[in-house]
Amino acid sequence: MDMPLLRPSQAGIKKNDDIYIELAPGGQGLRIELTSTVEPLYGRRIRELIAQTLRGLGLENAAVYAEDYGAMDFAIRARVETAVERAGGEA
Amino acid sequence: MLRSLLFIPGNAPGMLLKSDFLQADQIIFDLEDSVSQAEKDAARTLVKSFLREMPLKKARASVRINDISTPHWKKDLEAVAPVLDGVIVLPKSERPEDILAVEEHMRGLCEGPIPKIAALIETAAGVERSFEIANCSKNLCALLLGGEDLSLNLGCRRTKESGEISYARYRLLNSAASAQIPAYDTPFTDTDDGEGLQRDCRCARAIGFSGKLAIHPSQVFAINREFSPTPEEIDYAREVLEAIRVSEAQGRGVASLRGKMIDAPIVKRAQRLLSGLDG
Repeated sequence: MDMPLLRPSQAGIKKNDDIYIELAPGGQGLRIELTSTVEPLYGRRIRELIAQTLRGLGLENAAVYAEDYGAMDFAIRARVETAVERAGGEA
Repeated sequence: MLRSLLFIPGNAPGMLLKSDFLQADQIIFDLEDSVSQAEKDAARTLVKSFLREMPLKKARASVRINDISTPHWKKDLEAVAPVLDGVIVLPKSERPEDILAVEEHMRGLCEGPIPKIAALIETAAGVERSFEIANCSKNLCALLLGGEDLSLNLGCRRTKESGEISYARYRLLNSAASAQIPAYDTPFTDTDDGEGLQRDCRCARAIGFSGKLAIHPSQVFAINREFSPTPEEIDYAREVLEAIRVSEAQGRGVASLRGKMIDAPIVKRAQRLLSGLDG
């Protein structure tokens, strides 16, 4: 099941311990562009978590731009969920 | 023993992470005043995610949802009630029906027991109906006083001396006592005035409040100290119970301590004080 996104959306704040997420509809598969203060250590893990959360919400196709400021898993999941909800998907 | 209840903004991941290390007895994750209208959805999702993945280990957890005149309160409950091992704080509680509506909505959301509810009383109508609110449900676990909104509602200036909310304080205490639940005092909002906070705590404790709301971590230590029994009070309580024990062992009906008769209310007060040390 692929849940379509109806419009671009944002969630999160560009501050320590948070992650800023932009979601846009379209494309083939999940395309995730990430900048992170902890990219060398956790970049792969953050990308996986974003993708896992999106797929868990039924999204297979979307463009994601993420700016991470050291967010923990709970915050990453929550911001992705909020972005999906704001994009008109079901969270 | 529950003395300090600290508000933490619900949309700040860093604050959520620190919350369990601030020495507060209870954390109130806030979805109401500290969250802008545009971020209500984000805050409730963030608090839900935090409670689910990182449950508090030291402090008790609670969540202040939005009041029932808003379009947010049901969504708040739907997000947090199923994952909350703690208390829902309902702001601007004005009628027993408000509490019952929250209770009813949670029953449809939770598989097991629903979270307890604390009524935050901060309007004149709420103060006047506090007796009915306090006694409306066995899930109602505390009354909290919100002096800022109350003084706004009363149309009076809020002062550090708090004379303008004296009636509300006594009324709430009486209502809470009638239901045998604790009452917690309004926050002291000048976070730079440590002496003022201490005076305010002493005043509140002297008339029967069990603790106090805090709006900044720097207030927690003073609140915990002021709402804890002093070593002298603990010693006296132990002496009372020992005097009673000796008196009963000797077959005497009454006991005396330091030249005063020890009667039932004194014994109960001593028992209550010492039992509070365990919790």
